[in-house]
Amino acid sequence: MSSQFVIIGNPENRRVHLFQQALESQGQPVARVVSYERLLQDVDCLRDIIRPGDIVRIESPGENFAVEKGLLARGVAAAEVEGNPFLSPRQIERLEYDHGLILHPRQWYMGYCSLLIQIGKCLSGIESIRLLNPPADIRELFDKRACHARCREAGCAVPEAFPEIHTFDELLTIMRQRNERRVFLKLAHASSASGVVALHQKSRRIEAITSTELVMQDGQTRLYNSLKVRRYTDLREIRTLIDELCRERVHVERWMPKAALSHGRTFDLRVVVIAGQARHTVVRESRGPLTNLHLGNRRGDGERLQELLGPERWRALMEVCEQAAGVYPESFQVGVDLLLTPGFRQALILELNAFGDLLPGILWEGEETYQSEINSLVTDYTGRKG
Amino acid sequence: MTIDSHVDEFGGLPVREFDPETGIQDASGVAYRLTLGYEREQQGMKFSDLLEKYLSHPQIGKVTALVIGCWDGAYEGSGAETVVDQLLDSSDLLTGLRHLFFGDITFEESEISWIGQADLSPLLRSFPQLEELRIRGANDLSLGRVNHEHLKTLVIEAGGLGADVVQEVTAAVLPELEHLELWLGTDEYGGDASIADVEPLLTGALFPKLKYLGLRNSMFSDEIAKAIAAAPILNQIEVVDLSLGTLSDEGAQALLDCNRLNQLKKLDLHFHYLSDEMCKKLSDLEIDVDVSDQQEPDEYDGEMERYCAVSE
Repeated sequence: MSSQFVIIGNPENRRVHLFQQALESQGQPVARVVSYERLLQDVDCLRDIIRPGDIVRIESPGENFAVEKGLLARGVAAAEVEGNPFLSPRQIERLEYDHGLILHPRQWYMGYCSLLIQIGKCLSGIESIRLLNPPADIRELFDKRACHARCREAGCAVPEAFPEIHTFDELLTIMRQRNERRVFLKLAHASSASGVVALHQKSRRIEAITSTELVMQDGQTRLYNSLKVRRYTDLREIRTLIDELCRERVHVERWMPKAALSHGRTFDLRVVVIAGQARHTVVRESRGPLTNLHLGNRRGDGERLQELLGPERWRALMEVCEQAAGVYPESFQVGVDLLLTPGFRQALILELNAFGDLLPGILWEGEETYQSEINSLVTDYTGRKG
Repeated sequence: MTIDSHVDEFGGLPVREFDPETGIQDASGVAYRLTLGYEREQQGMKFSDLLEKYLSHPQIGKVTALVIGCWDGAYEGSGAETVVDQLLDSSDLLTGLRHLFFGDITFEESEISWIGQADLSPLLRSFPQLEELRIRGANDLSLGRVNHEHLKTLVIEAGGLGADVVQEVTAAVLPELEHLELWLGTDEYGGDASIADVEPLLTGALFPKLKYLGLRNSMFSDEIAKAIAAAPILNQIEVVDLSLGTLSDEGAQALLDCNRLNQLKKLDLHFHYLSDEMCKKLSDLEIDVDVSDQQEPDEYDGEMERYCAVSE
């Protein structure tokens, strides 16, 4: 007997298309898709759609403006309680799509959490379903502060994190106290490189390298997630940028140096751990401190890296990733970002990603990520049944 | 291109790593390289212990060349202040020192953009006989108001050199300077100097004895080439070194069009983005031209991008 897949996602999104293709390529029937839009209207519909025995994959809700608005609306009440600027239902209604504009990620996150909690409740009432990444894990994986703390407690090597900060001036004070001149600041709730700032204090100046564009117009400040990495050196601009980001909650950690593999580029690794096993890996090379591939960076030569490290060290690194993914044992797949310091001396976990398995064209044992996941599930399922 | 090996010769001497166990074996015939490195640091050793051991040798006065490698935490950006202080304290011992390399650190030890430097102006003051100063890394680097009677060679290698440091160089009084190299780098690593900052160097008025001008590893090599082609400095120098930068046909053509180019002994353009045709034209010149290591621009989002060689 083969099991039936269900995807909770945005049906038009390529993540969903690629997963469907992967199912087809593995001889599986296509998944039923439940759209986030529908769930935002009526989450209880899940009870009618999902049948006992189904395998349920919760996908990223990203890249769909209607869903983004719906999640923001869902987060209004919780955001209001926190007292930071937020979007009212009226403002959300009037929002027009503005490519790259960073819209209150904290409010969005609280809206998404509330939806995930309800999804979780609905699903827990359905018998013997296989839930790939459980809603509770997704919630925590989408909170970089919480996830970092959890990894640290579990004994994973992570860059040292700063206590919570609320303003740029607070950040500067802590940097001074700790005698730390380079930090990485990230939005606590964001994907890709949205709201990431590499901050470097030199004796006479401070500079911020970031994918975020600061737009100040008509007395208003807006932040855009941009494909162009910018460098800010004006203290007022940096203060505005960091203060704005802080309102949305940030995670700050020591900026660690990265190893290099080729000419003038440094790298980190994305490793997808599926069913406890480190499988697909991508070397993300960059000429700057931000390595995300969509920022014009490139995939590096993983084979060369493996060669340089040798099989034993490579295996040890994979174990570091497996251990980190194991911090969330209920999650079927976790995208692990791993940093090696120059000379490959230290390996540090940078981040875990709930939706980190979108790596088209990257093969492990001849299979792409989604194919590998499907096969692992089907084997597991048949194995248990048989 | 990353820096992947240490110097094997410095100040005319072979370089050998200093081993605190055996100490100095040949004070005048070897340039010792002092390096702490990750392993020794993990064992609890301090760079100051190593330097102390080196400086305590009775023949230390015979030393002419010294190579400073990794100091404590250099691989994660810790500054070189304590090394500077220690050298200052021993300036009366190092009476023969003529050549100093401050930061012989490869990318495996620390990316160039991470090397934490210091204010080196007291060094220049306390070693008035120094003839060569080579510096790698430019974070927190400062030279102060330089006024030095004997310095012949100044090299600053960086992934990004700040305009402030370039301005310190152009304000320096160095009557004996023959060889100057500035690695300008990219703004992602603090290289915010522009053509306006380097232009004073091209007047030829700053350093009367300058023979070698290297404006290397630059993101605006074309602008530099065009400015040099029109500048008085060409009447004075023997070597123009624009290597490791983003030079394209545009800048090279300006050089070709300049009828004073043949006064040079050498034009070093290695690591460049020149066309085959341009390389051929340059090679046909009667002077020595290095056009090795041709690069292809990266294509990103429909745009061709050129990068300098050493950025991280």
